[in-house]
Amino acid sequence: MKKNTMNITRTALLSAVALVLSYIEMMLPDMPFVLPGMKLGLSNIATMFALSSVSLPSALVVCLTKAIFALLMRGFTAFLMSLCGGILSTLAMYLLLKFNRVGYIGIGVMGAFCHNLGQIFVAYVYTDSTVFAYFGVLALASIVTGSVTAFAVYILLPKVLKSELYKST
Amino acid sequence: MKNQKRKLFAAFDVVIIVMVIVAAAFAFLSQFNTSDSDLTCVIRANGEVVHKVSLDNVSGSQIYTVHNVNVKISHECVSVSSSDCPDKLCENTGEISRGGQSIVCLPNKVSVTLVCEENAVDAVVG
Repeated sequence: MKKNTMNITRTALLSAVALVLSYIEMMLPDMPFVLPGMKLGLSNIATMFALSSVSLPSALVVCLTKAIFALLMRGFTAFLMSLCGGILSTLAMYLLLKFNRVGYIGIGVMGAFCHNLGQIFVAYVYTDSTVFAYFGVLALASIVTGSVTAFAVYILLPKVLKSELYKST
Repeated sequence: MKNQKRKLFAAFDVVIIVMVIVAAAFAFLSQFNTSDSDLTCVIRANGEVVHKVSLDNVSGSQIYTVHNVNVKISHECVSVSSSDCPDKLCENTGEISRGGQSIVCLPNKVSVTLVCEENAVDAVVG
């Protein structure tokens, strides 16, 4: 099959994976000891996947799909936060992927951190500097959540790259 | 395929994690003046201060309604008792009682912050 068609298919599949992960995350109860509304960022797995196995535009499309899902499920504020966080984290991870001395954990943590940064920025534009009170906790949390997503990508990527989906090109 | 040789954890990752921890530490240090006396509750909507209430002057509890968010202020603590937002994150934040703590309702663009009196320099309205 043509390379372009393959990449569109991969992007579509990864977008679907991102949506399922977002949905699973919505069903998880709020963790009691952290901020209300804080999430694991599981759907970052799909973005990281698209970035390291397809291309930057593909990862951005996955982000956009995630944001539209957030718009439908949780409203316009969620859309803006998802989009801004997603694009910022994708760009950060894209830059880090160019360096061989950076491991998956580093990329995952940076991605989670930038996702939080983008979301806090949108929240700041929406309200006022009060939201920066959340920054410290979110930054620390991104070390944990980023490592989780990085670990998942590290385990899954070699297996998926061997699968039918990536055989032809 | 590219990136197949990438390690799970490489030396540069330590640098990234340390950077994130430093950013977090900086955020914590700049924010916490955790005193629980002389607290003032500042309610903002669209970034503008709408109400400013000293907790010492409150007896029983009072409800302030800003942009469909009901903020309940009592002598010891502040909480959002109800809001018409879809996610209810502000309600779920629960009660705050120390300086530097805050509750934010993003869909309604309302924020509630507790500040220590001596640090309160914003204009007083309401």
